[in-house]
Amino acid sequence: MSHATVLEVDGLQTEFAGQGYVVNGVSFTIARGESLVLLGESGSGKSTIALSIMRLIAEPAGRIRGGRVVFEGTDLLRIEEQRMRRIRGRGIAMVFQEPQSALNPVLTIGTQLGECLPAKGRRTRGLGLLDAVGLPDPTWAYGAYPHQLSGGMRQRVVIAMAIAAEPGLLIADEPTSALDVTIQAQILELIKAEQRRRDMAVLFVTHDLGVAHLMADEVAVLYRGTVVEQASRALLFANPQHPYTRDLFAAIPSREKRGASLAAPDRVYDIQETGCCYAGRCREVQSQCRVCEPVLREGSAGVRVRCVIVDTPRAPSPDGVREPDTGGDPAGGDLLEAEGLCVNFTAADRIFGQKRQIRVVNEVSLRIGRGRTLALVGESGSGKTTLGKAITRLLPLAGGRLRFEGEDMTTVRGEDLRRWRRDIQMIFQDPYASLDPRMTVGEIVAEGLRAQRIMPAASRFSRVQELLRQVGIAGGSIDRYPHQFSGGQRQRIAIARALAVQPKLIICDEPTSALDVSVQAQILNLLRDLQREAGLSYLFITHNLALVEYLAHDVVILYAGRIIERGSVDQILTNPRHPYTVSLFAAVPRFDHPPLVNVMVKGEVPAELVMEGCPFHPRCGRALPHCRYERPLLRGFEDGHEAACHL
Amino acid sequence: MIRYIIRRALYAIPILFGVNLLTFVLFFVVNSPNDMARFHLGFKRVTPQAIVQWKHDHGYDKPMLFNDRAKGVQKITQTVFFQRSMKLFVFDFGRSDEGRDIGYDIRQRMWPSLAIALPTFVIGILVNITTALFLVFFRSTYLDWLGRLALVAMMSVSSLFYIIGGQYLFGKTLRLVPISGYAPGLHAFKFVVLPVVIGVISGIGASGRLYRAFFLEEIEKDYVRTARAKGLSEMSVLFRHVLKNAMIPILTSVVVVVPSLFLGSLIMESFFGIPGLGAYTLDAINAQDFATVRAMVFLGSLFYIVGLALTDITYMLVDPRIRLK
Repeated sequence: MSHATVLEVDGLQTEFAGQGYVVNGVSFTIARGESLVLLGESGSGKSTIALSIMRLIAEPAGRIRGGRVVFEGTDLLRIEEQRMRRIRGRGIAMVFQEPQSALNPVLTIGTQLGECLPAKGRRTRGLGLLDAVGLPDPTWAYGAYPHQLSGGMRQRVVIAMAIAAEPGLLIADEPTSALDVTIQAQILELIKAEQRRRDMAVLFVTHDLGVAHLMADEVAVLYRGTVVEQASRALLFANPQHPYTRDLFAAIPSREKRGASLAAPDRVYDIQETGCCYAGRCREVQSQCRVCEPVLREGSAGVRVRCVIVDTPRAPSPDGVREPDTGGDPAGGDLLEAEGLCVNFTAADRIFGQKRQIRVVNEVSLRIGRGRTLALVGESGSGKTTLGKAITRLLPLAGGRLRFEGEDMTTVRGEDLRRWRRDIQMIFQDPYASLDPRMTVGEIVAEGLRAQRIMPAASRFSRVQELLRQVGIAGGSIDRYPHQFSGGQRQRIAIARALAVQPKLIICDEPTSALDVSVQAQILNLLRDLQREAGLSYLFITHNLALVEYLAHDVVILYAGRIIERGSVDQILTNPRHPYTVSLFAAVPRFDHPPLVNVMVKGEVPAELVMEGCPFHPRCGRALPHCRYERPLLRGFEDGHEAACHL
Repeated sequence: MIRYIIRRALYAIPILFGVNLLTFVLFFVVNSPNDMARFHLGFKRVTPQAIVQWKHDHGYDKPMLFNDRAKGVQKITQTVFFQRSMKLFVFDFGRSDEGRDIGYDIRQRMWPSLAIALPTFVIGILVNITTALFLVFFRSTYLDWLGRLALVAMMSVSSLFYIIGGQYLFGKTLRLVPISGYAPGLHAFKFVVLPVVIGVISGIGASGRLYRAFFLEEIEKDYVRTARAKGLSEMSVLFRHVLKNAMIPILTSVVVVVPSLFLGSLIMESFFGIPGLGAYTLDAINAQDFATVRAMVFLGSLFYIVGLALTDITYMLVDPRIRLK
């Protein structure tokens, strides 16, 4: 061990009652000024490792069973709680995932930050820290309560608390997973800057390959509580060795994979008692893998892989068969036309105060072609979900017209509305919340059939069976309840429910944002197959640009309730016109190619709607004087490519 | 804030009117003024003239809710309901059917009620919070388990048992305090101690368990993990972070009863012979004294409405996320 080693974790084992070993023999070291990324999907034990190092595992449910955690020469697992407390915050500090809940709601920022600082000169140092992490008005923020700050600002406060006592090691547990990409880019940059300035060691936990590539010197890939591969960033991203790592890369949607299916496991968790933990899902499994567990072996150039076939040159992971892009024919006609849609929210004073109308979707026009996918891209608060609900008429329209297959549907009601709802179905973001927990899978899928009176009750059963088979759920699941399924399976059930009434358009509201990448790949493959076979159209609401590249035909970019740019996917990706679109793409951390331009959006979406001028002008790096008072209208560039910008 | 209070006060008017009307109707469904007169005059020597005279003296000779024979507004005002119930809105309680001044009685009797209710309330909250914090500090140990067992046992025993048992043990056997009775001024102390202690003890079971649950809910939250990650001690975590958050549900659940403390407790006061408002209400019910019952019900609803408004205001004071409009 070189003297610069800050943290050495050796054979760490953590057990949770009822779940067995969540962390099973993990070892790694981090040197001063270096950053190690723990990369893994949910259930890989990455957060548990972080909490075990801090000795913050919630006992008695969880227990550290073995191993050593040596920090600056002290084994943290062998010292008294009182000494451990002095190391927390001062030696090792931590930044958490959810900035919404990581701060105490009833104490001011100043009070909470002050707890990390010595009493003498507390306020001055606190203000200095808040300034250092980039809060625009430190004096105000110091006296403010957490709910008065945005998510990004709160995460900056959490970082300020973490670096307050100059720790030797910073643990960041998915610090940006709950934030928008433009804010994520700012926070990641902040962490890197603080690391450089203080020469800290950083242990960074994430599930995002792009974020891992941006933050890592060294990457450890975790699968079910063990490190399956560890390598320097360059080597891991250039030549992933372990089958799991390779599958992970193959499961990421990207532009290059358009038209091909993504690599997705057939079975998600096949509990393996003996042998390699990945044997159940591995494409290259050999008979010995099921018997004895492979050790983490040193390969070439310091790559360590827990696999028997290390260093064997192999063909890249098999990509699925590439089919010609369907729906590529724009002449297929429009299925849905929306013109000048407006949606208002009523902010009512609690009892009999005045009602205020807030326009959250403003003059949005879009067209969805038959068999095509329109991606609706925007960050939180852009109105994208509201727009989706308004198109299904789940929310009232304050203006505009909706036409479906040429018929005006803006004001249909009663029986006509029911028919229209049959043609347009919706899949929601959170599969854990969108299925009624007290209904069986069969009832959930059959409900649409019953409501639409599509078929006699007698034949519904077989239809439900058929639908479940179509989405890859075993027919025997019909009497089970949603909680008995994993997130990915639940989203398939939601898809079966939507398909039951044979819709022509499905509105997918971030259907994979709560899922792991390998599960996301399964869902995307399913949606793609359905489009090819049944000619479905999708309105795909997302903030994930990789999904847009992979499956969209047309793209609409929404900012503050207005369309700021639209065009075909090629036009938008190769030649984005609006500065917001450009910086949105630049903010997404990429490992496959460098960002197009290096522009970071400054600031955050203002809390008050920008009433005059371009809605983006306060954050735009290229704003001209008249952007402030003159609202740019959508104007055409190439064929069908429009952007609302004065430039 | 002031606008909020004014609005709440305006809402209270229709509610109190409804409460008055309902009490009025319920009372006279069971009783007629004739019954009342017979009851008060004694059943034996009642002549029709005496009944008419009694009704006239006590204001029950008018129609109940609507006067056909009167003119204009008087159709409403010349009724028993209007004459007797509407005056409550200006806190004119009038005379009881026994002829006593109700307002004077209430002013006299609220002090003994408060002498019991207020200490029981304050000490009770402190004891319950301490018990809950103690159990939470020792959570998932045998001490916690035993403590919870004791709380369930205490909760399962009727409060009547504590009263009678306490009177027997401290009053009769040990002769530490009088069994019942009351004296004004400082002498009240020896009469008040036992009811207060018993009131506190009989409340620990339910509230202690509830508060423990509030604390445990908070202790699971992310900000507690953040606080621990800063290196704070378990004591600072509990007192500075958890207690302040758990006080929000605790305070808002107890504040509603604060105004009603004036009205005392029916059971405690009648068992310990305390001449407070609880005993007063009970006596009035037994004596079919409509005027007094009506006044106490009115005060009860008024205090409850004030309690609800205080709860909202407390919310605003303790939780920075809430601002009343």
